Amino acid sequence: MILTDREIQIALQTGVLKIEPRPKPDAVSSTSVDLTLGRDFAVWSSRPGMTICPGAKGFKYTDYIDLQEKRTGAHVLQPQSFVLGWTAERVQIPINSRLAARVEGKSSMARLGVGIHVTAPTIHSGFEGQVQLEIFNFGPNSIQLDEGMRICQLIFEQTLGTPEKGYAGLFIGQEADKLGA
Amino acid sequence: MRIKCDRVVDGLIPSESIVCITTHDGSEEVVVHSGLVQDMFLFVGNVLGRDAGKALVELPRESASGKWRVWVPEAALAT
Repeated sequence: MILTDREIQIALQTGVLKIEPRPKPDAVSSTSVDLTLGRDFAVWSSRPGMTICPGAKGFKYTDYIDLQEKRTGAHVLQPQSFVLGWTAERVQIPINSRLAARVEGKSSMARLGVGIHVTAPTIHSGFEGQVQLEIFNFGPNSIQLDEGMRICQLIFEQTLGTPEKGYAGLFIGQEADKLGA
Repeated sequence: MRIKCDRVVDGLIPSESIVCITTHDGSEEVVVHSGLVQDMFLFVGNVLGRDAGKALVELPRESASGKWRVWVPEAALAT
């Protein structure tokens, strides 16, 4: 079941769900909460003749991290180009919250041709961190991405039970303490 | 439960780290929230299974090779 605005607010107020900075009331809609774009971006560059083989045994992402140029501030996304971005908000869905989420685009961006994830929308129960966005410009025009703009929405769903990873419950409290949550 | 990290490097943003852990058949890299890494150990939650000196754990996020659950040497785990 998808959480409505009321359940989202209750989850935030009771700490069942944590989003920092806390979304303003107008960021919540009937069945979702909007998140904003942070200031960090990473742009992939290519190396002539190189093929990345993520399915190869021993594949290491860090072998290619130097191909990702870090940028901050406004980013102009050219047509048919791709950039990684992150939400400004840090999201925490405790593993015993009986919640999971999906990150989805917003129609305001979609109508410009901008998608914000590449087939990886699931935010699993237990997730902690800023949500990575895989932003692609399918449209014919350059689009400026500004820090603080509404970039995506989270849709929360109730899970049936608690994942085995956190079932004992005790671990979650320990982890939250360590995280200073 | 926590698992020993062989290597921890900065991620693309300040709140993320990339950790490398040893598995029973190699190694895995995973991008995680930096708060989940302390003193070269990564929080992984409950052990999901045990078999002949190996433990099955679920990583906080999908690894670079696409795995969520990996078998790791029990000796690499700490409470």
